[in-house]
Amino acid sequence: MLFHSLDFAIFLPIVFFLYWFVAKKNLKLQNALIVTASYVFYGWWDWRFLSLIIFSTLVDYSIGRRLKNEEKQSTRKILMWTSIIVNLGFLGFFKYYNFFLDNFIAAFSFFGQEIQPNTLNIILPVGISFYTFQTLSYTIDVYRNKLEPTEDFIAFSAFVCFFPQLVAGPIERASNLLPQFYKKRIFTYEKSADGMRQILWGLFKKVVIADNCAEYANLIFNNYGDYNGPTLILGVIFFAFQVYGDFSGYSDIAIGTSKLFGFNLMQNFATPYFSRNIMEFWKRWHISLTSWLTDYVFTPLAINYRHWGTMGIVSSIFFTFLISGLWHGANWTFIVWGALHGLYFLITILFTRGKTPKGIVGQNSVLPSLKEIGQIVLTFLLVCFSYIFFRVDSLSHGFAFISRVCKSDWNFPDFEGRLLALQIIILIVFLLFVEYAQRNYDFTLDLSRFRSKSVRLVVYISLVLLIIIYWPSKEQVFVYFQF
Amino acid sequence: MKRFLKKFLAIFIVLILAIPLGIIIWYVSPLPNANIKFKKGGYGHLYSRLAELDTTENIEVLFLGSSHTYRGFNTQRISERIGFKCFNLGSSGQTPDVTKVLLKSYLNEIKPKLVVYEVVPSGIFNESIGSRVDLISNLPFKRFNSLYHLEDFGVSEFKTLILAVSHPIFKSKYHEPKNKGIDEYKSGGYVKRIGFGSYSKQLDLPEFTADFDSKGFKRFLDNLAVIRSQGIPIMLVLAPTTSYDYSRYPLNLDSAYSSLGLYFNFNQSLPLDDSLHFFDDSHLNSDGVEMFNDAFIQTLCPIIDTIN
Repeated sequence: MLFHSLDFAIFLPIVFFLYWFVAKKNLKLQNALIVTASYVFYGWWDWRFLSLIIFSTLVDYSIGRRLKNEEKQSTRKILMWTSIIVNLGFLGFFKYYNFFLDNFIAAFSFFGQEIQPNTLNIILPVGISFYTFQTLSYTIDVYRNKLEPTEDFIAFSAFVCFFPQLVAGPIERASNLLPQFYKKRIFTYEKSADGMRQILWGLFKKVVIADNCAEYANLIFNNYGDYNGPTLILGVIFFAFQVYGDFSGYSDIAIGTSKLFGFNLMQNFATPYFSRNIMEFWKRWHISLTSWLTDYVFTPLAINYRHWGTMGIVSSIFFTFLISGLWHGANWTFIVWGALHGLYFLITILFTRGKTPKGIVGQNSVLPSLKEIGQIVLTFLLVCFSYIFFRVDSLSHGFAFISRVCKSDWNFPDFEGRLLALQIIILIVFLLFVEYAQRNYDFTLDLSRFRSKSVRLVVYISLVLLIIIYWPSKEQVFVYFQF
Repeated sequence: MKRFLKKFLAIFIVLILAIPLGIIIWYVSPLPNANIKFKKGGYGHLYSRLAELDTTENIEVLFLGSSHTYRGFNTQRISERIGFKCFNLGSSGQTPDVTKVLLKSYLNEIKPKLVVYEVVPSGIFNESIGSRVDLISNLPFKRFNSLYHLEDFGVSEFKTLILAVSHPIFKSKYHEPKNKGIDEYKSGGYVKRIGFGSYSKQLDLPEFTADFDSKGFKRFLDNLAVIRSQGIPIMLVLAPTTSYDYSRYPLNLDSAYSSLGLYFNFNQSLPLDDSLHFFDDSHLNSDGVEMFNDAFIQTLCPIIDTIN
């Protein structure tokens, strides 16, 4: 079920009503309702893959309970690895089977050996990368004694499949989300109103910015041979805002929806395109994945290879970024994207000695300083360059795209539908302006500083109108669903 | 909770009023029309066709389908030759859900003796919205209740509906000219491409895949059932297209259509030349229409005899 569909517009109020009016006084019933609603939400896409979620839930719940009573370190380790193998096994099969097989064949044929493999037509279950990482974090934290394993199966099931963040995050930690299922949720006007505002801003980013940028990004990337350099660069910028609007929009709607049910999810994006270097960018972009990889990939690696000194840290950082790339998709393009960011990150550490800029951009002034503007632009350009590999279908497509940018003539961007594209650019500037102006607030549409109710009402109505008017005729699914 | 629901309801009510008003103001203002799709008249003279249909009686053969229908069947000529009154109810990219609305709205009134259903795969297997917004823009107001049958009614269709309903308020009575550029609307629903018009291949188009499990195809089967339920015989016709375009059609198309009843494929059976008889990659020019219609009439006559 898509957040911006009629199905969800009917589903959400029904679940909201049942949750607060029917199951109001019974915590277990509320949690059971969340599990049921989440399964309906997921099953709307393909009910067959619900079995994977249920199996993961059963495995990690059972292993968590076994870990509680198990003191023998070797058995505990076996239990943890069982969870890792089961969860990553599913992920590996559904997401990476054909990728590794294709590369295996290519490697053999390189050495003159032809093999006849069994490629499978595998459907990638939506959100598998997200819920796999979420359940894994539970078992690993229990193994590390950082988290008390749960006895409450319904609460654990709800934690694994909580519908607002099930298919595209934020990837929640058990330590943050699971305890919220043990406590009675209290409805507050402020929290729910904030949730609605966040949903509204998320829809604006998804429908107005991302879906409209997608039209042009797709047009330009799919026919890159027909366009000149500046048009291709514009295509990359459109893609940058498509991905940002799409993914951060989804996160905003997920966080906002959770607030309607009395839950707090972690922030996933914090104005990443105002970052002053790549290190800051990764503190502001897909925060839940970055922190997950830091805790469960980078830190164990860095500890393991600490005897290598600086080389150990450098290798751990680079490897973590490669994993980040591979997590996004089973294609060399994503690995190159991850490698580029790893490289950027290491070079930034070299120049800044590991210091991220303090505070937020323009902290003590209305406008950012010239130096900050330069840093922001440079960071954005580096991120955009990496997006070429994120968007293309193959490495050869990526290199051909870059070569076309360098070799073609440098006239004014020229493509079909420039007038609407100009409007979208104006809306992107509007988005950046609002996000910059609201950078000190918890979420962008926090309008608490405007006392006048009519001002707030005008803002809401204007945003809804923009969403309706710019609603594209071609439906675009969320980009991150494929990951 | 009370406060939240009260405020939400208040904003919701304001939005119910503000959204249609906002759409209309945006549309009539000089602001570019972004993603608002509303065009009275449209590309395929649907407004004139539906207006004529409301004043035409005793239609005996009804033609349904996409632009291949309204550009491919010269109903005036066919009527004269077979002695049965024909009407062409084709529309641009007509998808099966649009055909369904037209059937629900007109079939009971017209009660034709035969339905000729043109089955170009780009129409039958299509689920895009272009055909839907064309219908909503041009359907006579008194028939709007039949839009209830339009499945997949989304935000884009909603915007078009708001403008279609309010159009008489912000624009004076609309009159669609018979001649639009090089297209001429003929009584009976046919649109003639004026001048010779010739085609040379410019684009490489992707291979066409027909998904027999798609919503579009299932709706097409529903439409056949609706027509047959009224005891009306159906003739499925695949109108000629260029040999290049035809090479993109799936190989199993003929067998699939044949299994559904009376089916005639006019591709490759006529001496049509891509550069002489088409004005683009799939539409016949007036010479091509003449040749095709002659062959079609020959096929149709024995069927008409059985109806008589």
